[in-house]
Amino acid sequence: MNLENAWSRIALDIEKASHLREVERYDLAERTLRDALAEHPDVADLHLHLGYVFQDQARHDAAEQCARDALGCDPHEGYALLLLGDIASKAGRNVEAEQHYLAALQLDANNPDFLRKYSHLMYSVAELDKAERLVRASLEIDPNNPGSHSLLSVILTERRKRDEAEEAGTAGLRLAPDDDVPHFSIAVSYFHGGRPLKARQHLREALRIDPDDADTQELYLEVDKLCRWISLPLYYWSILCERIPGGPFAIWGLFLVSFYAMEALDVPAQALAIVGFSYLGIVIYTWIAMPLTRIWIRMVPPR
Amino acid sequence: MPAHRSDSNEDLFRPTLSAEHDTAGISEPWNPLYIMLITFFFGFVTGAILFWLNARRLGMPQRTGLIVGLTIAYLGLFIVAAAYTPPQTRERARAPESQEIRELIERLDKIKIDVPNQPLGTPSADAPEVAEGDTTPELEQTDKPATEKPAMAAAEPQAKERKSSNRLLRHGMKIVALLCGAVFYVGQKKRYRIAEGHGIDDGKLLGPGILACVIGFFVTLATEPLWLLVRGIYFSQ
Repeated sequence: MNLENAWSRIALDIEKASHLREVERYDLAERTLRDALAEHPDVADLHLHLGYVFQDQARHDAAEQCARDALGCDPHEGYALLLLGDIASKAGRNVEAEQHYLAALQLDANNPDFLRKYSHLMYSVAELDKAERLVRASLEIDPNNPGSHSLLSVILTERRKRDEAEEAGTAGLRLAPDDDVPHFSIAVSYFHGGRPLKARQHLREALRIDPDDADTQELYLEVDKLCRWISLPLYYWSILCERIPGGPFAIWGLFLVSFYAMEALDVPAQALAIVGFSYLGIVIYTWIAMPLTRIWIRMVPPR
Repeated sequence: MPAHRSDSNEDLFRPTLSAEHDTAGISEPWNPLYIMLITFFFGFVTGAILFWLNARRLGMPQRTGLIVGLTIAYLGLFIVAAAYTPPQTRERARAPESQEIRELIERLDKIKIDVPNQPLGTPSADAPEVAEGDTTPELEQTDKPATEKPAMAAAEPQAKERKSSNRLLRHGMKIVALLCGAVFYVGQKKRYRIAEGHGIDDGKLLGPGILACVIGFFVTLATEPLWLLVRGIYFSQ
């Protein structure tokens, strides 16, 4: 009976600390967990959650120590390995992070969180094929995880599978309409898919939910800049360049070949001049569009 | 629960990453795509300098040897190509062409057609009757009139040909520059993406870019005596 009481108290402390973390009262969360640890120093979960508190505050060394303490209490605590992996990945030690994630997957290969975290690591180092397969495996196990759908959407966008990316983004949004992450990921998908106005709309929504997210703010400013009418043609031009292998260089090559071909075919000089000046016009426009937009943004700042 | 660790998924649980996936050594990198654009607009040497600096910023100094090697090869190719292009195609070598044309015009000026002072269209009394298509006696008297006219006519296609080979050199070298730049770009793209994926901020390219442009300009200028030397040796043979 006493043991049962002790476990329920530990569970309550952990829940309380989680709520305090959510409202960013890290000092109180830390105190709660330290008090609980003073009574039950061998409970891995308490060490782990204290590690999360430190991780939220970017105190990575302390978080790492807590994760190791948790593993000392319970070597089969997969989430402690996950925390170690996260810390290593944030510090750019990706090989080490992979080792931790794989060790966690050794413990439980069917854990969707482990698979998603590993997928995210693969995405951050541009191993996109493996990232996609991992997140799809995670979705097979837990199809209602909005985070996995959002991650899949971002991966597919980078792999230029735009329709599938939008589909995954929409699925994530359907599951968590009040979360900023699905809004962000579908905005990324729309932005790369040639729909900047819809992307801006979703980013506004994401910022309404979480106004302090630096990534969302950065992308919003970028998208808003390209939604101005001076820079919209530049945006579509860059989308075109993105879709052609070789991008602007391939277009230059095409222009060169057509120019030589026209010359060889004795096309009238007027036609040659039109082609030449059109290309020159595009080049000059791509140079001046962004400075002009910046001036405009100074006059009319983004809402 | 699906049996997740199937044979098809077995490789998902094998380590993939190596030391080059770590971000150690990356500091304020530049986007290699921007350097490609700089290579396109401001020349290969400028681009190579920036790629070389970027390789260090991306923590991959072992790749700088390739950049130096390809740059030397490119400059060698440029010297040879410039030396073997017809001399008149280079800006500095246009003088003989102008001289030739000038001489031709002077000779044509010397041709005096003795036309009496009378209204146009009325034939002179002492002028010989000339059938259509015949050359005038005055023209026949001048020195080498028969060779002057074809020379004048030949000058135009010759100039066209020279202009075309000059353009071919310029565009050809630009394509070679872009191909070399593409090699560097591919080598740096993934590393830059890893830096981007870990939120490492880009460095400022403007100042080093301008400096690289100036250095690139002077290096290209410095190759001129070399290709002139190669050309001198070639034509003396």
